[in-house]
Amino acid sequence: MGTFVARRLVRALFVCLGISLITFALLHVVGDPVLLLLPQSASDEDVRLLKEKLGLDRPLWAQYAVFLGGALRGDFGQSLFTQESAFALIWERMPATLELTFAGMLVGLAIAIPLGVVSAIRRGSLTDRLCTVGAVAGQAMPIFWLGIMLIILFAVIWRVLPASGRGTPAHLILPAITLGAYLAPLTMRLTRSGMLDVLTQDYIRTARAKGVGERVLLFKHALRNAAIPIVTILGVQFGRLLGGAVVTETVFAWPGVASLAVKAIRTYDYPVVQGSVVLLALLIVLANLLTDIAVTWLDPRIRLEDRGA
Amino acid sequence: MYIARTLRRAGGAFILASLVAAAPAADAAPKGRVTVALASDASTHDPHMHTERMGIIMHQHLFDTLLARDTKTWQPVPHLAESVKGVNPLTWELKLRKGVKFHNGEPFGAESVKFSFERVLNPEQKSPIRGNFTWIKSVDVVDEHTVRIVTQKPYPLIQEILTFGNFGMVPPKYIKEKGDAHFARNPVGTGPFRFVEWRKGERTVLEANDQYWKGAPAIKTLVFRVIPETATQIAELLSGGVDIIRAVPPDQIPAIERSGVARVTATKILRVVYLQLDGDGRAGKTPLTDVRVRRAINHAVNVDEIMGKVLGGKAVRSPNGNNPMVFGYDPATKPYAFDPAQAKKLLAEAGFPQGLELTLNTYTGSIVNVEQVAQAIQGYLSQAGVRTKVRHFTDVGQYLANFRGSKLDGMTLASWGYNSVFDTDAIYYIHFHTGQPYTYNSAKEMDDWLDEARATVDAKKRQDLYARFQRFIVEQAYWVPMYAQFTIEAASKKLNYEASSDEIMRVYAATWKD
Repeated sequence: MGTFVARRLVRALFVCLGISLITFALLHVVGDPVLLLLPQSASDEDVRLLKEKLGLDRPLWAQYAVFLGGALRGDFGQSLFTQESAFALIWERMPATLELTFAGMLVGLAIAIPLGVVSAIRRGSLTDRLCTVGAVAGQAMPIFWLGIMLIILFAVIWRVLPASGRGTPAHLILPAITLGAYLAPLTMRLTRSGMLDVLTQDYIRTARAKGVGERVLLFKHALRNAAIPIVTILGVQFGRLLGGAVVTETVFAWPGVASLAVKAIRTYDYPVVQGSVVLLALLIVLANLLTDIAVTWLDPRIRLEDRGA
Repeated sequence: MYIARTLRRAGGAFILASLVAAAPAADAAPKGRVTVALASDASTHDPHMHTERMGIIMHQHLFDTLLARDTKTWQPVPHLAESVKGVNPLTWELKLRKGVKFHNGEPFGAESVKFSFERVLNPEQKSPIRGNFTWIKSVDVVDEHTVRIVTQKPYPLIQEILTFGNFGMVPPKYIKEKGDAHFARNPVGTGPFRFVEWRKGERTVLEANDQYWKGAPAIKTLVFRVIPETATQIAELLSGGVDIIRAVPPDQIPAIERSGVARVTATKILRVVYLQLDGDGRAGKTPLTDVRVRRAINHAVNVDEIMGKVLGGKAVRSPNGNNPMVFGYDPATKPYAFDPAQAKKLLAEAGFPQGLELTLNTYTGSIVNVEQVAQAIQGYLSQAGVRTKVRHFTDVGQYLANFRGSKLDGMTLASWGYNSVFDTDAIYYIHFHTGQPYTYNSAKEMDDWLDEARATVDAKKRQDLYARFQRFIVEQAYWVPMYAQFTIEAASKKLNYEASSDEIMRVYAATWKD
């Protein structure tokens, strides 16, 4: 297990390096923060001076080397706009993003797993068909649109929940539902097909023949086995969730890393963009690592293969 | 003698202005809470270290500038400086208001003014507004309430720069003791509100300054909330979560007016919109170097119809690209009449009887309904035989880089906000003087007029020079002048609040309806 984790961590390091290089190249090719930092009336001389001060006149490879050297020590440099540590800015926003992402994931799973299980057990029934239609509709629904609709219904018309912002638990409800609804359809369909697959297996038939109660059969024997693809996909979905968080944070004025990164991208605040991207990538890599560990725990066969390799 | 007379004129305007300045203090104690939605947060609460509109709006409530603007004429009026007088063409004397204190109790005086100027001018400070102050040679303290500003050469825009939204007076002792980083997060000014809390990306909370020298504001707690999405802002306004929003899209006005809880307040602003033509051929060879082609394009576009149909009438016609509100605007210039037949005739004379093709550059940013405006222009031009290829920049940074980098060939649907300076110099110098970053049309006589108007403090002479200048650029058809935009804001019906032409949201002047 130790070598397995270590190997994954080394791989994660290379992933982050690759991501930072791509982000760096893309940002530097596209635009220039200096023109956004200065008043529009700034003279060419002002522009040149500020570039020099910020070190943006140096060759790209030299700038990347400086960034990389700092990043390895956990220092992403200073925001070009606030002159504050980019890491501190991002770190400050991280709890909000994690809170939203986990709440979204919980809502998503709370919708997806029961519906998936019920659909599988009652395959072909009206419930199953309604769930399938719901899942397709949910997948097709733009997250932005859903967020606005929820705001109009719950905040403007019924006035039972706040429209946006963060502070009380009530503020978390609409964004978590929005993000959860984004996650739920795919997870539900996976749960359904996983359960269907497992329910036709020999060991289920054997267990049933042995007289194992239906509830134990479903939750101990079937769902645990069906959980393997669900957990695997959750790791992948975590990245999607963070993507969904960009839109959700914007719609609900949620002060997280995603909205910070979006603003930084618009203003070419290189250190903040690079810091956010690398930290978010690290989170995704970490989520995948945890997924791998969880799957190994759920499925002893994988552990054995790993040892044999 | 002549200089003395012109200085008297400049100074005289000020002494007059000082009589009408300073709104009466509100009698009642501040009460209630007002929440303002802004699309983005300030990146810092150090007023000298940014150029962002959202930051300027917040900082007008925390800090005071030396001069302010009269909200009817938009001319500079006394504020922390009670008077600004020319001593000689290179020296201005500022008499400061007495008895003013910063929120931490530190007294405001000549040393604070000197410190604030020198802080912005210090290259090590890296202030992005430094370029607006490099005309200053020195700032000298005469006594506790008097300073003298010595300029490198005669500088007619001094009063404009002293109203500059970013240039709030800051407390020297506090900043020296606590440092810049602390100040940027815990700002202290002399303004109508004192700082309470900043949750980055989320909200800034201010509280009424009971000791404010103009009298305490009517509102007790003022919250600036960051809400990036317009639809969410409107939902918050209609559900009572926020009280004031800005940048309302024109198509949302009816919904807000119908709501019963909020109303729209709109007014003309400094930003002008125009179609710039590359008359110099700065971006490469182009038919636009021929004045007949430029005039044809001027005849081809129906600006009045765009203002009515695309902007719902929320615009003011500009015949020369200049804003009618600013000093030096020439009301005598007339725009080209909408006349497609004349446009075709001129194109034929210029050697394009079959018409021609040009690039139309546009960008997403400050122009309201930019796509529709561009499409309308495209439509009008095609009727006159000018085919257009639209190049749309979704990113302001890229647009500016191309603008400055001589890459905007053909026509550019551009806009200019004057950096909040209500003076003709603020638009024409940077767009028409040889060697300036945005100059795509230049001529020797234009350089001379602009230089001369910049070097004198004689208001009458400047007015004459700019009048000549405006007639010249209209005759040469360097731009298709279009209109000045409106700011469209919406406010809760519980408040007496009006939008301002300098786009500074004066929530400090708002009062409650009983």
